[in-house]
Amino acid sequence: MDACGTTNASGPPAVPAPAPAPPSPDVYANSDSQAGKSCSEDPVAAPVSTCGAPKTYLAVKVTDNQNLPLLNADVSAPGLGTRTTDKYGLADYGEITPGTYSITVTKDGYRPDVDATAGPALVTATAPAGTSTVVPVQLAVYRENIIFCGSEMDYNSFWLKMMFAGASWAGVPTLRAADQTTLAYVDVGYTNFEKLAFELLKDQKGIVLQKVASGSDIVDLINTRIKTKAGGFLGKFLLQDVLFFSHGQPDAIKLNYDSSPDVNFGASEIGSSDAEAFSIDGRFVSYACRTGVSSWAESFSSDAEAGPDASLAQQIANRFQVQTQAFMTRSFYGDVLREKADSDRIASTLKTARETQDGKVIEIPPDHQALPHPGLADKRGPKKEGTNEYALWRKAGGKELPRSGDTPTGLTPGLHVFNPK
Amino acid sequence: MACQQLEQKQMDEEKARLELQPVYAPAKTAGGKVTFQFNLNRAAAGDSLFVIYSKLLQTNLYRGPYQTKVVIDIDERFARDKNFDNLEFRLLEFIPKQSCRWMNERGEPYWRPGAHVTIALLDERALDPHGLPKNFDVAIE
Repeated sequence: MDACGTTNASGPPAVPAPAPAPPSPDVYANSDSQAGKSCSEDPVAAPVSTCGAPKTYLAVKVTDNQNLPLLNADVSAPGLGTRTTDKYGLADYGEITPGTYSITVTKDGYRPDVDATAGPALVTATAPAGTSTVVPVQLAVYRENIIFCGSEMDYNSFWLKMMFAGASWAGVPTLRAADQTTLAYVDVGYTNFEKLAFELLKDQKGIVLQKVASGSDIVDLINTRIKTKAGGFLGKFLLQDVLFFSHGQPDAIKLNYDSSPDVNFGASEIGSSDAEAFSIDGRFVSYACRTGVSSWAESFSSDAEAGPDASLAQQIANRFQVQTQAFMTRSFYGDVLREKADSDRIASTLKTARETQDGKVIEIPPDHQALPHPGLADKRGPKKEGTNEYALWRKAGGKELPRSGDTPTGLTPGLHVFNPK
Repeated sequence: MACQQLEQKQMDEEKARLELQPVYAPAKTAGGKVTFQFNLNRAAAGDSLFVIYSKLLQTNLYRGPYQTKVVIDIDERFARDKNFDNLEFRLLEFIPKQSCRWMNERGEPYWRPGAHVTIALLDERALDPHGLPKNFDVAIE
């Protein structure tokens, strides 16, 4: 309590939060100056005043270019000092001397507006006597989407070799607009023909390709994303949408399962990742098996029994404070590249074409190609089928996203939403 | 089974890496024993380092020469997931120099006290009845 009887030093902000950023400073007359009201009746003036002198309050509300509040932005003004915004984007100066202030706002990775090359944002605000003023400041952010695509070294199958690559293609239309989209893939077990699927994403959709060969590489990609844009801005692209298409188990998303080296994203990698790497509206989606459970058991009587609260998905949501979506069951990629009912036709077309084109890329009209892959599925069954030493590809990429599978039993299918705790 | 031929230097590094990893020690309040029986005969395994890794406990349960029979003393930690675990077996063979790894997608209820578990390590990957890849067969009695 100050000399005037106003409680404000460590308590409530001058302006209630949260509220959408207004287009211009909001100026509220304080209760103290309004005739006919007592000092403590006005809902606008949060501080409880017990005397009649007019007070002046100032807060700065910082949002990004989607009007979402920005946490931990640095706000400074000569004569007022420095503040850091809270989760509502508010930097509260409390009671101030009436006047005009030059306010500077910075946050690593943000720029004053979409055309600016660098920060800080500068705003001049006037706080008349007896008012509460909220100064809106909007910063722009670069946004990056990342698709992580694992290797498929487990099934040794013509039908499934390219399932993660196909699913990555199917994932592209689900991404929100961003300044950059990166496809990070594990370069294990893919032939040059198969890697053209990644190159096409680069050529046709401007997607940046990046190889990852360890869990540390994944962490590095999340943590170190300094980019130089035309115009000279050097800043961090905050993550917006991150998708994983790979194998997985309850202990880790496994991008090189059943092969070497391990390329895992598990608890230690989550803990090593920058907790502020995502934009505030970021989203993380795992299409790997069982990211949403912590149990190794194969049958459950309820979702809760599978330990979703201790799952990787919940750990990810908590670490990055973003909504995370994941399957509790295993994932089913079997329909990503073709309908099962189309299998006989595809196999028979390939077998016939190999009589004259063996070892070459073979067209399977209308949608598919068979890519030569020496050594793949070189076993009796595939040989009889005619699909050995080839990998199936669909020219437009995956026709659908992976779905949740049937095992472990007793779990609710579909992507589950894990909100930050 | 995924086996990789190794040079002497790689062999030494892999052996050193495995020997640095911690190995489980049962709590004083042990809850019984589980006996594992493996199908490779000792001659096939030769001089070797054999490792049993538990994904439930995230540690090695056994590290030593290959043996057809390995007994694990278990404690209450093994019971926390309805006796289920997902095991991985590694065999580092000194002659010939190769590193092999067997892992299954599905977990199994290995950790019932007194259980006898027979593991048949497969030469070739196969699919289990659920269509999931497996590198070893499991029978639990």
